[in-house]
Amino acid sequence: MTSVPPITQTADLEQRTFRAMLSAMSMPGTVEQVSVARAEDGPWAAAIAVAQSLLDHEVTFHVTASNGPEETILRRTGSRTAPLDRAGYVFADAAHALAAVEAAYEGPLEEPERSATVVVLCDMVGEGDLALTLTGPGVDGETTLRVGGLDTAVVKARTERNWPFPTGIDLILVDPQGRLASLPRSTAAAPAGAQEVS
Amino acid sequence: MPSVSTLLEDRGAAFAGYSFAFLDDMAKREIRRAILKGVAIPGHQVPFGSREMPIARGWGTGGLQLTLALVGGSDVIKVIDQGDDASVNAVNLRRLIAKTTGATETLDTAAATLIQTRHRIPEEVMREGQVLILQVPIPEPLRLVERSVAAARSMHAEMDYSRMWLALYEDIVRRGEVSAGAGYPVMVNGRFVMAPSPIPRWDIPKLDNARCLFLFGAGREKRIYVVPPFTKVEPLEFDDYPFDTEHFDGKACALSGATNAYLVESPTEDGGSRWTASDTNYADKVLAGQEVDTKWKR
Repeated sequence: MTSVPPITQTADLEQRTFRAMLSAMSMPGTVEQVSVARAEDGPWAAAIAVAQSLLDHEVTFHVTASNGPEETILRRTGSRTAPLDRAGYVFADAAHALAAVEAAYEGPLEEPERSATVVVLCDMVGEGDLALTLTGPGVDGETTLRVGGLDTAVVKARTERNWPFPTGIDLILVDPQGRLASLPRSTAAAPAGAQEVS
Repeated sequence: MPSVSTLLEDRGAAFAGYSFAFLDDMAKREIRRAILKGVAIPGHQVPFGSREMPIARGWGTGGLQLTLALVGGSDVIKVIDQGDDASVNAVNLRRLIAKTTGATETLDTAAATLIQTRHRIPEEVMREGQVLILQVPIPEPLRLVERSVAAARSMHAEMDYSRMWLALYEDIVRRGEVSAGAGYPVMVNGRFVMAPSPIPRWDIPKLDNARCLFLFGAGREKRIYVVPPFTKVEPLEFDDYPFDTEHFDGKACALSGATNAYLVESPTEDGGSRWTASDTNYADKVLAGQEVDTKWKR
């Protein structure tokens, strides 16, 4: 009789969140559902799940948001905070997304993997007023990602930061319902018929 | 002393003291961070702190660490070694993964969610959502032309591949063709030259614009890199010396009769040789008369 080592509830959440992120990152435009760790995490639950799966004391993070989850992330991950322009992982709400995308750390050309990953809490992921046309690796030709509550200025700033490839930053978009999508730096995203109401 | 039968019964219980999926959570987190960065920068080698594994370096520790960082209890895993599900190494890796996670073992390429492989890409087309994890001995394609890791890194940064091209040119001048058999260098997403691991040329075109995700893990050299689905992957070639795969004209697998497969030659008792498909699961399916989609190129 084989007994498998048990998986802790936390490790299980981390594994499933990572697989959701891997799917979203490798196929931009795909919207994944993230399981929420605790009900009391509120709208930031998906972002906190992302933090729990990726952060520990070896990396740093920064939260730029009103009522952001800095305390929760510190407590649950053991990670450390760092200024916006130095942190490896940045968590921002939609209002602070532009500042985050403009100032987040960018790794040198020799080590582009050191660039920050910016997690943005939007109103909606997979639906909403902003339709982004995506092309690039992971996208079969062209696809559309809808986002609610994200300023087109953020998309524009992202495009500027991500030129020339491979320098740039990677975006993970989450919403209060736990939906998650990704815009890695390799993806070209442009507003298509922006401000349409879905 | 306990009895042998007790020991055999307890064989599984021995794993109970280990972490789920063998690696500790911190190691997994580091590998997961590296994988996501690798996905965002197709073909770029991301360093990671390769851990000691219960197998020797050079036996697939990089691939195994990637698999263990990904796998969950609901995954269906397949491990192949040179296309073979039944080699000792493949069986041991598959058992280790299954016994530390409860994941289901399979030999069926179509049924697997994760496939760890040494030196082959399956003949059967892999679909969206499937992950192929390739074991890599030497992740640096520029190693032959530049021994310094730092110098090679700056060549990648500046996209200065002139010495790589020169080496290919010299190869053609000396031998009349590019001599690289396994691990033919490729350009990923028009940006990074990448070592595809020692897969035969036969498998190189499968990397281009595929539906599945390719993860590459080099345990000894501590590097992870990625080819996402729907990504352009081109073998390095000259206009007048185009890339070509191996040919098996007129040959068929001696066991299954399969013709559209990478064949390997083995000696027979009478001093001759025979050819068999290296992808054993594909050969089994052909033998069973199953319809198998091998058309990777879309």
